[in-house]
Amino acid sequence: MTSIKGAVALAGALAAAFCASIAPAQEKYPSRPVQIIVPWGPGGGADQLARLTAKLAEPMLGTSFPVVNTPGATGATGMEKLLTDQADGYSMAIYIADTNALLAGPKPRWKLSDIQPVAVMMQVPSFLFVAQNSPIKDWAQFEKEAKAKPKTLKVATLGYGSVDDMTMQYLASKGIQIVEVPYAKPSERYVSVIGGHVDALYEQAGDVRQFINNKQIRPIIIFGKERLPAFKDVPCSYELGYKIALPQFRSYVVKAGTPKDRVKLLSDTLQKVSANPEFQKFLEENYSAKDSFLPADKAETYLAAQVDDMKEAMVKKQ
Amino acid sequence: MQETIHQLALGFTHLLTLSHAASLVVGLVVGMLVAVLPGLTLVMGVVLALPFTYGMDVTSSIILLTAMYLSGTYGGAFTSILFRIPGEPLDVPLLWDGYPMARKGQPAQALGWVLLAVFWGGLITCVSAVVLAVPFAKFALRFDSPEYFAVVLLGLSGVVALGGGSLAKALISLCIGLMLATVGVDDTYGVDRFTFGVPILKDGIEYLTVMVGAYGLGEVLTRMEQGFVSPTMDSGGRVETRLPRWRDVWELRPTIGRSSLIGIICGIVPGAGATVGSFVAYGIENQYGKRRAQLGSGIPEGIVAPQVASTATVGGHMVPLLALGIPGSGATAVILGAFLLHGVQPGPQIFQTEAAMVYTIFASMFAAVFGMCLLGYFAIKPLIRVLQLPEAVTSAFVALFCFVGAYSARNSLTDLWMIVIFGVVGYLFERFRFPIAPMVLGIILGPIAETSFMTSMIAYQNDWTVFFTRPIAGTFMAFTILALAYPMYRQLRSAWRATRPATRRLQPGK
Amino acid sequence: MPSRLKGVLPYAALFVGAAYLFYDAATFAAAARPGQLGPDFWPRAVLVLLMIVCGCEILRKLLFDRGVDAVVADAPHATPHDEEASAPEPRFPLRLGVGIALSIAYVLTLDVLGFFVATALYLALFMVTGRYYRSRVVLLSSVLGSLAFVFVFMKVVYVSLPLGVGPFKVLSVWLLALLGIR
Repeated sequence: MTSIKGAVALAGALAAAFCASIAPAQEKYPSRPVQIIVPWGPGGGADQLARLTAKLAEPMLGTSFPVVNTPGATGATGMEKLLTDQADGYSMAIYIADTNALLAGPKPRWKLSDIQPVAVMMQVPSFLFVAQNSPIKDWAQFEKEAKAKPKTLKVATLGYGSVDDMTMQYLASKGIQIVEVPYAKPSERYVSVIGGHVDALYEQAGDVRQFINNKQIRPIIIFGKERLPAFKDVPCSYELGYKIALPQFRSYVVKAGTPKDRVKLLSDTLQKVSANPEFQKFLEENYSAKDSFLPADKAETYLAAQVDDMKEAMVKKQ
Repeated sequence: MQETIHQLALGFTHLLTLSHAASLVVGLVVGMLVAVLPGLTLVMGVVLALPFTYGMDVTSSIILLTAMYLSGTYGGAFTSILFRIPGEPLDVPLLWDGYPMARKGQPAQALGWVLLAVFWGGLITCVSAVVLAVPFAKFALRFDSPEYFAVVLLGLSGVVALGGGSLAKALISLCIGLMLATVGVDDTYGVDRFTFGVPILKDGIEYLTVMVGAYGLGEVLTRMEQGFVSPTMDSGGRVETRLPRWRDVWELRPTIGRSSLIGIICGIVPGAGATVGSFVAYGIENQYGKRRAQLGSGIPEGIVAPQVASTATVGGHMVPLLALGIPGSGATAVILGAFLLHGVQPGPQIFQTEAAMVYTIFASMFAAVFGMCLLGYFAIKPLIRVLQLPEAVTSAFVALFCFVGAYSARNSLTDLWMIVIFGVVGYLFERFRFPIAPMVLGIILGPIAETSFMTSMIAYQNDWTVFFTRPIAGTFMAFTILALAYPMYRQLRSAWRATRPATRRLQPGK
Repeated sequence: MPSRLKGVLPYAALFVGAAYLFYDAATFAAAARPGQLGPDFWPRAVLVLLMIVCGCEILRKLLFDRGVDAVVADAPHATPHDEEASAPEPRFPLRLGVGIALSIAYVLTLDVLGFFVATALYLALFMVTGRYYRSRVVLLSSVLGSLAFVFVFMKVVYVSLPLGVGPFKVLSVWLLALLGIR
């Protein structure tokens, strides 16, 4: 038992010594690793963004940015982790549209005022895709079919309550009634459309680019305000009279109450990251707008506006 | 065929370059390490390795990741068998026979059987990947949610027989597992279920915490109560790897054959994967194996069946990945990422446009199987030495591994509470002879079963006959019904006999 | 008769619990979309199965059971019982209690003491509770062991291990710097 007392005493003495020697000095930020919380599993889009950011930001600030995956509850588990940590700028989290959508739903676990946006890194429009050999040639035909036989066309989406769902609800309110089939796993979602089990797939182009390039699927509509240069022949929702554009965005947030200068430093660093050619290439591969980046203050209004848009889309269905 | 062999031979010659060989070796060693440390999952390991492949050529990076993937399905076997900590869900069935065998004082034999199973599973999976790649890739596309549900149901049903003597206890334990899986936010509707307003329940109960808590920490607590005396363990200095004798292996050929087939099929099915394969293989062994009565007491069949199947899924996963660009598991999703990063598009055309690369990858898989077994052979000896350390010391570290393992999955303190809770639950189950296995099975497969069921019902307008009328789903359902009906019949018959022992003499055998 | 009742009791408790959860599922059943199965369908189906099994067991125990069920082999998870029968092992319920309490204390204090301190203490105390008293080995293995964990999980693979608060945080941060983690 004496050894244990010894260990305690030793630890105590060490702690006291370093407390005395280090604590009073003004802490330079960042003086230790800044963790990036990814509320999704390893390997996904959010994870890729975090790991690329970490790689590019490390030499800029001279500290490491370890990536921490905290999957669960559409990102809520990760947000919980961010919000229980201290607001000292040593934890930031990836915050995506689907997590933001929870705020528009019933009983959200946090409020927009609990978090401080640092930067929006990517804004990616969503598409409807059909299989290459599908009898449906384009959006006009899809629309006609859906109106002629309501609730027969099947569209694969992420799940109810997601951004995908809101867009489908909006379309339903405009008379395009389809059966929404939720597939939580991406691989199952993609098999479902290529294998012909569903008629269309709601997805961001970057996540399925190998299928597009292989000519296994093709887009029929972009949900956005304008067409994309990469898909010149694909109409966008606004030109067709559907006023809905809920882009998938990926942003960084910290806990509210983080010192302003630290938020500014992080935001500036992320801006430099986003200007990096490697990051630009990443944006291009994901068909993300080149000027996706929004600094802290603009990100704040952007997130709030998105929540309002989603609430509006939800109200319309009733 | 000749063309294929020719291409493969060319692939082997390509392997001889320094960068390819080096990435093979590094991949094998790192994959093994990642799997042995219970805190790290295979997917995590592959993700961490991905950045290092940025600077490599595409073939080397895929070789590296595939080698990690292969040896990762092997490494978890060590901790499962020696310490009863499953590194991955796919290792759980190994606990049921591997651990008892090690506790009987035969850890070397148990690991020898695993080595054999990995070797065979690896070889068969490489062969199947090469031969089946082109024709069978399309098979994967015929799977939709009803098929996923049918396969998972087969996985669930096969192991209901795990209650040992009591079907009722097994079912109750399974239901508890299935219910635990429903706690938290549901996948389809996104609503909170059974959280009772308790914050830590909102994050859901991660299967890893149940698995590692009930088995790992539960076992440590059980042994602590016994004062850490394990008479069978310290059997002198006779630690040497015991490879099974050829005669014993030959005896097991039906087991090996069945499990290989299960593994290959589960690999090709996206979403099923190694975990389902390993559970189904054990379940099938439990139904049809020659020595099914002894299963669970530490016999080789119980080790070989799940391990052959889980290793055999690797090649199956590579088929839809290469031929269709569809990743069937977390690890293959990352490998797909590596392809895309280097501007290579997996898909039907890859066998023509990038034939050299594809066959070099196949060749590297063959080489990886040999390398992995060699590595395993030499790792067994030092690992068994660990068992000869004072048990209190190793147990303290086993407990710590359980905590860190659970924590690193989601970096959440909630999961540490779950580990403690399920450690105590595991101890209580053990103490009162209540089966743990069905509960763990339920929490691992429960979520897949539920979402695929719900998705099917939504997609097919609540028409439950789809599970039977679609040919592939129907076939799996028929197997499931067989698997369920047979033990029930056995149970009823024995119950009937037990109540009326006088009227009928016991029949020998089946 | 009392022993028969005792055998029924756990199943009855499970039955009641399942019935309660079945009732509780109504709280989230409302989220369902018209014409589709709601989020309550699956758990309720499982609960019905659970209740049927419990009901059957209760009936069986009341009608047929003669107390043999308790010793039926429990194959693939329990230790083989011949071991149990041949060597009645000494039991240490107190040590078990201490072990559980230690684990709870570990989780409780982890956030305050930080990973390194809490882990070293836990390891050392756990070994002592497990009747291993060679102080030098206990001290060395627990401190070096925790250091190794910190190194692997902070440097090689990053896991966000708690740093602790106050002086313990200072110690943790200093330790990180010492291990070259920045």
